[in-house]
Amino acid sequence: MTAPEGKNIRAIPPAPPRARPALRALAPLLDDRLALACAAFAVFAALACAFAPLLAPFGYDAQNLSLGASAPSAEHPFGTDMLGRDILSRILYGGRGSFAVGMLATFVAAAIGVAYGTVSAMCGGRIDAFMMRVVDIAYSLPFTIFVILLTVAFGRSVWLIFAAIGAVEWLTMARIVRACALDIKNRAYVEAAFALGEGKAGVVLRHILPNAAPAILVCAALTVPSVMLLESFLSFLGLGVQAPLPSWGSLIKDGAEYMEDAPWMLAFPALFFSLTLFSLNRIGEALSRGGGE
Amino acid sequence: MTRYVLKRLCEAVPVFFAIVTAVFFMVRFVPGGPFDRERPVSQETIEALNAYYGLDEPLAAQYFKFLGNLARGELGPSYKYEGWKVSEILREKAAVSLELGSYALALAIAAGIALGLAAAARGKIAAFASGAGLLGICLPAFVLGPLLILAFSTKLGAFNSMGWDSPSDAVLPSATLALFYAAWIARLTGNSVRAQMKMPYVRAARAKGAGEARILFGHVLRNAVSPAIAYLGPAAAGLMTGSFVVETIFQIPGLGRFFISSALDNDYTMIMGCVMLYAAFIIIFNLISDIALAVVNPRIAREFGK
Amino acid sequence: MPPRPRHIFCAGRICAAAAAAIALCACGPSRTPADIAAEKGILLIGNAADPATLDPALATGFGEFKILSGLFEGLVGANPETLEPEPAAAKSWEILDGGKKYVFHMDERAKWSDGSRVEAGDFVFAWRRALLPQIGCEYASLFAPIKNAEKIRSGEEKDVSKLGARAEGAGTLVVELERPAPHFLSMLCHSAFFPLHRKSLEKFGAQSARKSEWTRPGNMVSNGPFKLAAWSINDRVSLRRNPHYRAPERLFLNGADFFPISNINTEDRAFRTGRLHITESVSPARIGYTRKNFPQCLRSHPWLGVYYYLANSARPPLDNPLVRKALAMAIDRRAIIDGILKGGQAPALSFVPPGCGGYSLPEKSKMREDIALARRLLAEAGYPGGKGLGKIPITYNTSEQHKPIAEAVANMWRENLGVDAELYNLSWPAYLAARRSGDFAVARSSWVADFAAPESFLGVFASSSGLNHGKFSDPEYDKLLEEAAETPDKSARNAKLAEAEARLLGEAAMIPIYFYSRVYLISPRVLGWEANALDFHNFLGVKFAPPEK
Repeated sequence: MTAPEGKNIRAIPPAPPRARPALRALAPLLDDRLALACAAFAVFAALACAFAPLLAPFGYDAQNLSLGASAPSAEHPFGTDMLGRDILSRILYGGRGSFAVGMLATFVAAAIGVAYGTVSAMCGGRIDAFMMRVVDIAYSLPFTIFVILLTVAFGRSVWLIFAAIGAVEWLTMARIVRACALDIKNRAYVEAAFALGEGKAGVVLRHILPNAAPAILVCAALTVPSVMLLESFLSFLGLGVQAPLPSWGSLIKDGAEYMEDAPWMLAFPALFFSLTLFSLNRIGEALSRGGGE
Repeated sequence: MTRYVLKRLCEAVPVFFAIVTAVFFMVRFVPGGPFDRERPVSQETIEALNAYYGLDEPLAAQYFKFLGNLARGELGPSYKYEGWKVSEILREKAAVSLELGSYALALAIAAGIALGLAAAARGKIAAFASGAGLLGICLPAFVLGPLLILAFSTKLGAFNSMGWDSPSDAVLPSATLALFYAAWIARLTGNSVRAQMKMPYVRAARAKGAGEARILFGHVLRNAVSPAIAYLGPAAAGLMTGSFVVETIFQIPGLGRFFISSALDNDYTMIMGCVMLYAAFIIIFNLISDIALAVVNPRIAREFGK
Repeated sequence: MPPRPRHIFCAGRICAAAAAAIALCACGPSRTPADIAAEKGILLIGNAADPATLDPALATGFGEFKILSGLFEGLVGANPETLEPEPAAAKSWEILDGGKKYVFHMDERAKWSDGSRVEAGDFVFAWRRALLPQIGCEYASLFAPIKNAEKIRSGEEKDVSKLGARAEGAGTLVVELERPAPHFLSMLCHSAFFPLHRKSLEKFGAQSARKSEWTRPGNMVSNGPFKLAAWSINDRVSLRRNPHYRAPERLFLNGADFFPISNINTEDRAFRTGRLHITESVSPARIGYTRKNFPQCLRSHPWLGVYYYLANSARPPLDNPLVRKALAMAIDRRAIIDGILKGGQAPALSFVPPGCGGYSLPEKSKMREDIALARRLLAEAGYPGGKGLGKIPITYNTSEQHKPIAEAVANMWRENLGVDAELYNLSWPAYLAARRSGDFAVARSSWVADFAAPESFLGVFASSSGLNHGKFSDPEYDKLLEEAAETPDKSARNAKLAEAEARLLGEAAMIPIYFYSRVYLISPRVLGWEANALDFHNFLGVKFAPPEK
């Protein structure tokens, strides 16, 4: 997890979740009406953004300079920005960028974290200790500087940047996976599987990963919004998604500049951004509560 | 206890060393050198500057020289600010960031724990508290800050809109800074209070007829703050090293801006200074947080004895 | 140390703050910091960039120049109203040998802030220092008219005493030029020509030491209206009255504080809540509001600078002048100014801003906005409808001012020409590196005059210029510039320069977009802050109007 300015926040040692099939990890959502509503909103927002080219009334870069920043109207329900671009369309397209970077970074983080965590746990002993030390070291790096150096170095490809962010976000994931794996590794049935001659790889695939899935899911659900928030911070620095392609972060940043003169430029993107982040966090929280009990 | 602290500090040395080494080499691979200016500069000037900073030597030699200087507590001159030492800039700015960070930390702890307890209650209050808590994670500081200024400074005139001169100048920035951290503390405390409330000892206390308030503050809270304390270690380090957004919006001469500007300006020595400062803060505050954990949780304290 | 209350680190501060807040609310509108400063005669100035140095030879930014023109004074100053040369450290001068020799007579009243006299030798010392390769003064090329300056700068001549500037006693400075330089006097108020106090500088390092502590408060000795009182990085630079200043009768201020406020909205809020007298700029977002509600605070006047897109003439497809011309013609500059900038800037169809030293370009030589012609030119170049041109990257350094313009230009090229442009946003060092190595197709650029003459602009595109990153090369153009430099008569010279500029525009070496305006907020109480095309201010004559009742 990272704070908004990319300073690392150490993972809270998670309670080892009860071993359950992965799908049932979603069960807590059903008991929590707010979380369910949040899930519905998140799915709705993600779909709307995914189908932006079909849904958006205008292109994300269709300008009308003479119109300028105009208040919401029938033609532009959320108003337009300083270049006369339709805010609604830009929110839809911007969501694509924000979701995409969130998912991409989370996917990279999960891939590295799961691999690292399981290897560390399965090897045990000195290797495990060393690998966890490396994680500790990485936690005390000021992530901001690292990300900026990466954006400067890879300046021309936003996807590379977010893959790189994912490559730094894996720390928490690795710790959680390792904790789960250690817990499961010492259970009787896993020991039995070893005794029956199953290889390490088989144990990982058949027992450890399915059992660690809920914890991974929770962590991923919380990583997506934290990356989205980080993206907004990079946008504040002018280092986010390459213009004219919008992201929610860059829309909010532009909106914040026009806060007093064109409040719609801030209000609508901020509303979508906050609701989505709220939803994703709420889902993650509901899942983790289910996992802990 | 002292042995534990010493052991931890010794363990930190290789960590520190690894970080310094990693960043030292990383910054050299970023395009654009530290002496790039718009107007052409003669080759001799570049050579003179390279010689001044020791950049004319092979990378390995530079690295060992850097370590040597570091051992003597010398961070070297800034590349951007001509004639200023990195250490003197950081020292001056750290005073401001430490002050602002402490207010924000105090505010975050107070608000976070209050919200967390409220969220663990039942009914409407809980829903409101957990919603309010999450809002902090959802609203970027560069939106919250200007909104606070508009409301309390431009409209009401209660505070200065920027600067770091009078005592009241700390109020809006620390509120802006604290919100995100308060939200996390609230979430962690809330979850953990909820979990504790289901423990047998709470049922036993209820059976004995203890009031809810007594149970909550007398027993549960003590056990439930552990996750928040673990979180506070790195969080405090983050707060104390300043925030670029808050410092930019409120025009506060703190440390946070150097974390961004040094990387953008290729100010090598300043980057190293920021990295080392942050790592040192992380190490110190993690240690403090672990000691605090031991204080609230005697089981961990026994580990110290080993 | 900064002359402000030091913060005492105490837990009681929050209580104090709360009490202060309540007290403030109870009292209603009270006197703002700007009011209090005005009473003390101290000007509060927003200064976007944090100064990286206060060494006149090393300063590169406008923020630094602004501070330095309060700290130092050259031989000759400029009248803030007319920009005409006026006596400063030199009370008079003679121009001999048909403009090849200048003799300056120092003003006996000119004193350093430690009370010692400003001598001719102080100028010689500073000028030689600026030319040392170890110092690497970015503006050393301004010295070129002085005899042997170029040779010393390039390292060809190692003996700096060969520089054509020598002191004859304390009171006379003789400067010999390579050839007559009509702008020599007006160049002398540039910070690179400021004198330096040898004794205080050498106390902290050699003449050739670039990084030394002589520029710190307490160490620096200056000869301008102010001396350096405090300098805290990222916080403020405070100047206070120089008690030994030579013309106290023209100096009404007791000091000036410069605040490096990088966020344009923070600066705007600071002005509105009475924390500043003068801002560096106004966000385009706020111009409309300010014009409507506080027209007396908004000021906008032309500034000798041009914002342009540099084309890489050495790399296909922009090595083809037809393509460059088509791109230049397909931009609606008025729409960019009215829609994005909003500050009354002028559309640029040439490179030299109007009103630059009596120079004017005939209308027929200027660029045109003509979409139909642009399409024809593009087809003629072999890219009908933009086909086959590929994506044209627009490189710009990260900034809120550059992004919307790049977006608008990309859109215009796409809609008007079918040309696909892509935006590349780079950090400042990466942007400079890309420009220098020619790794760009179109790069956002700007140029602001060092002195009020067309040469200051046209020299950028000379083949030998180190600033010519687009690698534009035209022997005829170089020859015209060379000839103009040899022409003493002003109108004949300007005619030659106009001919050169016509060639530059005909080849579309760059795509001019707009001529700068300085747009900023200024408190109506500040009097005598003149609007001039160089935005030059020596703080003389500036004063505060009495508060309104």
